[in-house]
Amino acid sequence: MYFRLNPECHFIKGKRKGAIFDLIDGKIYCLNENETKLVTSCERDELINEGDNFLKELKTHCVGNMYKNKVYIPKLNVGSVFFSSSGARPQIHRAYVEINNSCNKNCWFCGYYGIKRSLGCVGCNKWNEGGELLSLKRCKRLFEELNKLDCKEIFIKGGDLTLSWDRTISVLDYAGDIFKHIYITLHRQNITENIINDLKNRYKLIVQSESLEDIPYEAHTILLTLQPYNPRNNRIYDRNVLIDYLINDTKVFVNNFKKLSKQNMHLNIYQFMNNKSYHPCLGHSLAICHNGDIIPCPMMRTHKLGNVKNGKLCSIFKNGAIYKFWNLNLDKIEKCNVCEFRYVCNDCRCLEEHLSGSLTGKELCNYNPIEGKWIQSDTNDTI
Amino acid sequence: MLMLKFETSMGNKYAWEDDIGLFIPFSPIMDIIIKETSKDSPPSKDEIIEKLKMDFDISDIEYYYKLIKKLEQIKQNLIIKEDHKIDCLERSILKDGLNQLTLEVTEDCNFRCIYCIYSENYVYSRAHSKKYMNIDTAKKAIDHYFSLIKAGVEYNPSRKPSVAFYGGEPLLNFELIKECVEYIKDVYKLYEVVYSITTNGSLLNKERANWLMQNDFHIGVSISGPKAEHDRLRIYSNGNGTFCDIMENIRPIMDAGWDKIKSLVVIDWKTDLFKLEEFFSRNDVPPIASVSTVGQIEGCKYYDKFTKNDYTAFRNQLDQARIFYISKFRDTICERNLSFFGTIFGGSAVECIHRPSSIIPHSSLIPFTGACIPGKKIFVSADGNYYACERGNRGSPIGNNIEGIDFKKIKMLINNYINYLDKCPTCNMKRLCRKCYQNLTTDKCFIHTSKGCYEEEKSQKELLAGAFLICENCSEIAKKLLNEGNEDVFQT
Repeated sequence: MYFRLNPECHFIKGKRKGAIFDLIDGKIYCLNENETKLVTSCERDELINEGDNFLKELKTHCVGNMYKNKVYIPKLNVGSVFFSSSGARPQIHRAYVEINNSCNKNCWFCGYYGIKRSLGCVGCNKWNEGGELLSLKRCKRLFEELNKLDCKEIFIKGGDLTLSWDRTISVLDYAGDIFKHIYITLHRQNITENIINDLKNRYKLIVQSESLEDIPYEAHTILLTLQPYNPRNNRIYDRNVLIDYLINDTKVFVNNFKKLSKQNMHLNIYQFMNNKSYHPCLGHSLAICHNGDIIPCPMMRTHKLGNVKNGKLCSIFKNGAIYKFWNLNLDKIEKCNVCEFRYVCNDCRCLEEHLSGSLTGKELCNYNPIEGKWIQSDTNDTI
Repeated sequence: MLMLKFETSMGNKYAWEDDIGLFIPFSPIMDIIIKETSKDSPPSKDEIIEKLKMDFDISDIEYYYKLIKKLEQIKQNLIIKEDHKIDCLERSILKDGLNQLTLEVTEDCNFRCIYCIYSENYVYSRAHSKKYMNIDTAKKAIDHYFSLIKAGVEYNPSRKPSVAFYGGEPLLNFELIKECVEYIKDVYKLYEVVYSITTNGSLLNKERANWLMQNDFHIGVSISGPKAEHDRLRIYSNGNGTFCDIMENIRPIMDAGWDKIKSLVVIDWKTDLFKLEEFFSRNDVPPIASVSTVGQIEGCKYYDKFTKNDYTAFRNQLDQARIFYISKFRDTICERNLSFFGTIFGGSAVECIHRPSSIIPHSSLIPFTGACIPGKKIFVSADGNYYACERGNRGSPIGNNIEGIDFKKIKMLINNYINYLDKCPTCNMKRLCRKCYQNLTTDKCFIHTSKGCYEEEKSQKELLAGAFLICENCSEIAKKLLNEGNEDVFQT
């Protein structure tokens, strides 16, 4: 008798343990060592004991089935594995566009001070950088270029975008005619009723804040930036609140920032298949700075791929510079490539590079795939 | 659920689920459960188990019940691409089309291959002629193509322009080919251009061979096997065989170690498959790029001269060859894996199974058959008219050298074609179908699929059963081929 996993169930083997990912049900089955060995031999078409209780259990969960003969089971796929000689067309799913670099505030978490935080990419930041601001005309042309590259989501960022609100509205309205999903980040102290009215529910407002108090309006997302030792960590469950931590020390992060731990992994068929080839966050994403620099992520300021003032956005695909980041799937990260969770895991390259000094380093993880064990937290917080 | 069911000779049952684009192991229990759950007032899972438990194992009933529910669940979550509408045709072509400019540098040919699509065997194709493309026509086509490439660069910056030289026998107009390449190098020097040529090899003398290699050409040479096999199909206009000349001509290219020379192989029902396997395993023969059977398209009379016994003998030979391939390569990978059998069994099986396997639906521009969106490549006839490809009749141009690509004509061609696909909406193998304009073309327009599509299900089932049999036995080959990826320079 043979046992094979269903087409929708992908088995990923780690150094010690493996996991089965059911791409339809969205369930992840974490296997122990013996179970991993058994499923490995099943997937190699080796004969099995029909009465094995574990395999029976997998069948009960509709993860796989027993067969009298060897069978061939092509896996559920997103897009054909066959491609033409002209190569895959680059597609941008998400672009961050900074339309100013001015702000009168001196927030303690600002990028101006070289601060690294977990979700600085969607927060507001001023940068200690030179260069002339992108013109309104170039901004608009940029949106047309992004549209041609199939961009789905635009994040409009600053600085304080309320300082030149007319310009911001002009940019938003132009982008709004092209894209369905537009996000704008504003600090809570700068938001007035008039600004809310101007956004007219057309644009998704991300409110940068250090507190959940005094936010009297409906925001799409509240980005709550906290110190690592804040006792409120892990206790905020509001649907539209994203917790953003200051990162300056690996240990503090691992112990406190469990939101990124694998115990909160979410399985999605499109993301899973995408992660097999691309970095889970950098893949299909880029940022255009206030001065026209093109970078892979709004927080990775030193990796300049080009400048839209000097030419078209698409030039970064011709010279291939962006692919170094897009194609950085976790198979290429030494500590991750032996992990069974590598296609469902979150990964922030900006923070990892900051903490490890290497673009392919890995510090922020509380799972040891070589041992197949979770690293114990120092705190008693539960997730 | 639209399912195409088939069974391999190992006794394994499979089904192709067309809505999801997925092959699944199949059991007859599924049919019963689907029937029950499709009722207006469907019974509960427990009621179904109660009803079927006398005939089937309960664990099997539960398993297949859940599997069916899962398949239904994923259908709800399929992502439909928004820009696959006829209004977005131009955008779609600028993004995903323009893969190749094919110049028919002449309609003339020094061969009279007995199966040639331009022979009297094909009612709806052009006949051989003495037409030659002139340099003005070629330059205009090149200019139009590069203007589209330029317009499309913001949509698809990774696309490399590709220029192919086709005939007739293109080397009959070698001077034009040289002029075209010099022109492109001079005017479009910023582009990295992929060049290819499809030739019968008879005029490929040393000087020309060197020039092609110097200019980094992909060279596709039509070779149909060892001398007896090749000369049965591919002859000069005086009836003499062509094999010896071709082998002599390609020797310097093979000796030079040029890895961009490939064999383009055509077979028919009288081909000795084992002799081809032996021949294409030789190191002095270019590796195979493609193997095609003589096309049974609408208006084809080629097979009229074959008997039913010929067909039966061919099928038997094919079965024996498949068994030979499986026994020889079972879970091993030979060095020259894409030998003849490797191509027609291993390569074809992997392609047959994995090309359509994707939950991403067909483009809604052409939801049925395997037809491309015209403009995927541009075929330019010797007189400067543009067509979707080199095959099919010349009744539906998609532009010309004066106006360039005419998107209205492409829209008309697509709409017209779709109108003839009357059987397709209820078909259970829409995504598997490889028919295209050429297969359904008549002298006036197209033939309705309700009339021109017969026994497709039967032949598709046989094809899939053969493909799955290969992969059941040679799964390592499937893995290797999938990892290597697939190039399609000659776009056959």
